[in-house]
Amino acid sequence: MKPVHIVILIVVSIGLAIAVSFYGDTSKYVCFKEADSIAVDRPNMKLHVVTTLSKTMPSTYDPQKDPNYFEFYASDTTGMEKKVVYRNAKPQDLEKTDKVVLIGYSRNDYFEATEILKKCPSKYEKK
Amino acid sequence: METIVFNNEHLAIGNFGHFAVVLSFVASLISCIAYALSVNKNSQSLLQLGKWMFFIHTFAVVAIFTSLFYIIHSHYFEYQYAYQHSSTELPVYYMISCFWEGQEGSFLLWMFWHAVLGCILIYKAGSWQAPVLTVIALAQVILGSMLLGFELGDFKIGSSPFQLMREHNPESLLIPVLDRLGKANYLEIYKEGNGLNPLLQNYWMVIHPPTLFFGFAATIVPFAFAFAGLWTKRLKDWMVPALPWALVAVMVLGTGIIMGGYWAYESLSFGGYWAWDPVENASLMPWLLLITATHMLLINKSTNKYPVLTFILTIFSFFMVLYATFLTRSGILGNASVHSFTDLGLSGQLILLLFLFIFLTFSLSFKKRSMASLFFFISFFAIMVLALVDFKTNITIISILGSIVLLGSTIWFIRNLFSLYGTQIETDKLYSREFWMFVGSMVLLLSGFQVIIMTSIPVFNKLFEGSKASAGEAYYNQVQIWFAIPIVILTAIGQYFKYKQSDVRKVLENIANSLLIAIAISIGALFLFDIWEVQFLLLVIGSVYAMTGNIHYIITALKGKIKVAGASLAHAGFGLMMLGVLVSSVNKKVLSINTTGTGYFSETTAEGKADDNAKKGNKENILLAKNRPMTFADNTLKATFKGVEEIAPNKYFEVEYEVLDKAGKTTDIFRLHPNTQNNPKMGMVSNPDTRHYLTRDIFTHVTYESSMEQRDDKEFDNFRTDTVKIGESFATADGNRQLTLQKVNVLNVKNDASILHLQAEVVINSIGDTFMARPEFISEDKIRFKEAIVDQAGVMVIFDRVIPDPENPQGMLFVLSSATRRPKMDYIILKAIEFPYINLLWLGTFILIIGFVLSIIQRFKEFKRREAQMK
Repeated sequence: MKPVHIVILIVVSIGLAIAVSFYGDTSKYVCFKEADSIAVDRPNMKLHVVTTLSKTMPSTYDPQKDPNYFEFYASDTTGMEKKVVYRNAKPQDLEKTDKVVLIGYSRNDYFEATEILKKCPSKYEKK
Repeated sequence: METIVFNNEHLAIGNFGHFAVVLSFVASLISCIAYALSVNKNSQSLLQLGKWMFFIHTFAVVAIFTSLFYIIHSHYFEYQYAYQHSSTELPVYYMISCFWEGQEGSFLLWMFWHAVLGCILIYKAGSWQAPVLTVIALAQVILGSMLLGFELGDFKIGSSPFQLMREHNPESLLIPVLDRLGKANYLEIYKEGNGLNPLLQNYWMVIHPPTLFFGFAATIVPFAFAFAGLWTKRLKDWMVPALPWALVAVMVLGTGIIMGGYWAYESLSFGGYWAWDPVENASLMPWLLLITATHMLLINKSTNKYPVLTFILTIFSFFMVLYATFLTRSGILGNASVHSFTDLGLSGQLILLLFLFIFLTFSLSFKKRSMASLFFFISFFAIMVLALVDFKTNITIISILGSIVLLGSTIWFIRNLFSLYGTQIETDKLYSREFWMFVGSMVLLLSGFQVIIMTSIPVFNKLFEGSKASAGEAYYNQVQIWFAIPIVILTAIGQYFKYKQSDVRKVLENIANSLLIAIAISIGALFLFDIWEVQFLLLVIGSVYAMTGNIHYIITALKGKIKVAGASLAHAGFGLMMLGVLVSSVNKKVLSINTTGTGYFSETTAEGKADDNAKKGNKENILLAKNRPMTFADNTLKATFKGVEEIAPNKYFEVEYEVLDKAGKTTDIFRLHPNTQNNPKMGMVSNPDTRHYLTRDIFTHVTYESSMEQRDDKEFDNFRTDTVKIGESFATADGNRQLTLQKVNVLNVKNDASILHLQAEVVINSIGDTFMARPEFISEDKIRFKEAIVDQAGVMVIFDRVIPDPENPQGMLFVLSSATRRPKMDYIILKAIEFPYINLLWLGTFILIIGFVLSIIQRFKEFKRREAQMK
């Protein structure tokens, strides 16, 4: 075998590995219920949940007590509502947002978001 | 239907602009056809026609640009584009930025660069002019169609930048106000434009997008040469002229990407210059493919090896530009990106653009012309039907069919290429430069492949109804570092080998020498940066090796001749850049770690049990109350929030920093002004401010501030009454604040014994801060109280009465009531991040770009010599 063949072989196998890893452990879009069941086996798998903010349940952010604790309620696409904890400063203008993608982990009684992607309605609408 | 004559409209310029759009479209179409025919018929007159049509086209594009600029500059808000993207307050230099805020402007900019490149190529492409210009003119036809705004029933081709507001939004003529003003005066409601997104009002945003677009546009040139090579069957000749253009595209696109990163770092609050966001990846994918192609072109120039792969990579880097445009402009990235994108109804045209070029190139690989046409019509038609017609059936089936057509055609195309070029893989010697360059190119290719696959997740989701989420930053970093390590090492090793065959002993000697220097320096660097994890350690050594190896090569092999040292210089710069990336991200440190203020919610669950998750949670934000200094980052920094200045739409927060040494002495004082911006299009955004030192940056942004709090001032409670002597202290009912009666002043104005006016001076100690309350007691006809409220301490003090001291006949006792509520204070929530040695990254980038410039000059000269030889 020539060196070139070895290189091509290695490249193809790494390429395949990349393609296969695509099906592996990367995150998924789920609803809260699925997130709960995944968390039982794999508590450390980061999950994405597309949600809307609850208009009725109050959100809590009291920076004078703890600037790194923000709590609110959101419902997923199936309509299930859940408490969300975000251990960070409250994202600005969250109230004006209609759709929010939460990235994080399902805990027993709440969803712990490590990232919140806001989707401002104004950016979506064609004015 | 009644015809209304509208007042105050400036229709002439819009009509002119629209005429220019149509002219540019028609001229590019004629140019494309004339050039194409001139290739097949080898006709000089057709070539001349194509050339002059392209000049007319270029003129028309400039005219479109000028008229749109004129409309924006004159604030003609009857035009939708001016209304949506500009305002009367906008300074002239930001008016240029209006062009890339909108979709039509972006395509216009892209067309403009294509036109400029086309004009240069008419003079510089020599014998390649006709086929190369055919490709560019074809791209112009399709891009131009996106500006036509031509409606045929429900079917709409493109959207015109010269559309009027009343056409764009006919309902606006029906709003009630116009009943009074009259419809003819509808412009009264469009007196002021929406303005440019304030985030884009930044000098980097004036130059970053045009640079990036130029880079994108320039990828068409190497593609056009490859296309022309296949078309005219000059199968290897095309690589010589393509090489310098590929370098130009790689350099400009790379510069554009880095500028974007620098802009993000300087003015966005995500805390970094690169986040592997799909939009960033969209510009990186073509860059990685093109840099791979460039290296393959270099190999080919000297050895004629791997022509098929070189061809494929060159054309795919251009396809990747089209694909990236589709990704960012079709709205498909919706959930995956922080940047949001809207589907402006152009995805159909973008898909058409992509597949037209793909199948056109593929069909050229057939030897028989009839076969080529047949293949093109069938496959292109099939894919367009599958992509654009709504079959109202299972999407997955359609997608699988589409994938089969695409994959099948690709395989057929590659097979054809091999039969054109000959299939044999030439023997490669282990001790040749081309072998190691090939290995390096393959690593680059894999790196690009990974980015492409991961960024395409939303596309796969759409095609096959999946629910995969895009990979995060950490995932990319973890994978990509394993590509970065071999790449930096190979940049140092590769060049010691000569093409075809080299003196093994000498090569190994050189490699070993420069490696020893690299290891010696790396050890110092490792101790300095304190980085010891295996993959990081390897990358440090590799990056340093890329620098020492390349500099060593410039000195010893090139004898310091800087004109030919472009590649080595670029590689050394790349090493430095990688070192900067590594150190600034691995050692990136949040300074504002909160050591107080936790424990209220965060550490217990709803059932009151200790919550382990809380410990893992971040404490990266601290509260700075106004004028109350706070020390953090292991007592190395002291920050004081000094105040707010509002310059709409921005609110600047002045934060004074003191850098402290170990003894607590101040070594440096500076002020930063991070701001929040009430962005009309994106809501509140916060923008950082950064202190730059030579070896580190202190990056600061405000994540929250007191005025965002939605508070209802509650009534005071926790009343209690104390009877005290002067100098005596007492606490509020909740025990949180300490009050001391310091003094009582007699404020009687007149010498009237019937009036008694007293003022108590009460010092309030609240969480380490001192305030003064001055309640008053007035006894006239009746008794009155003037309570003192200190909002910042949340305390009210009432001076109730004075009684004689039973223990001391001369003394008096004072009865004071106190009550509390939540303190109201001005504060900011602040996050501070340290980026160590980020200047290595910027310096490395700078050297990299200089290296590119030198190479480009060198390669253009080579092409000139080649053309001269042919004559």
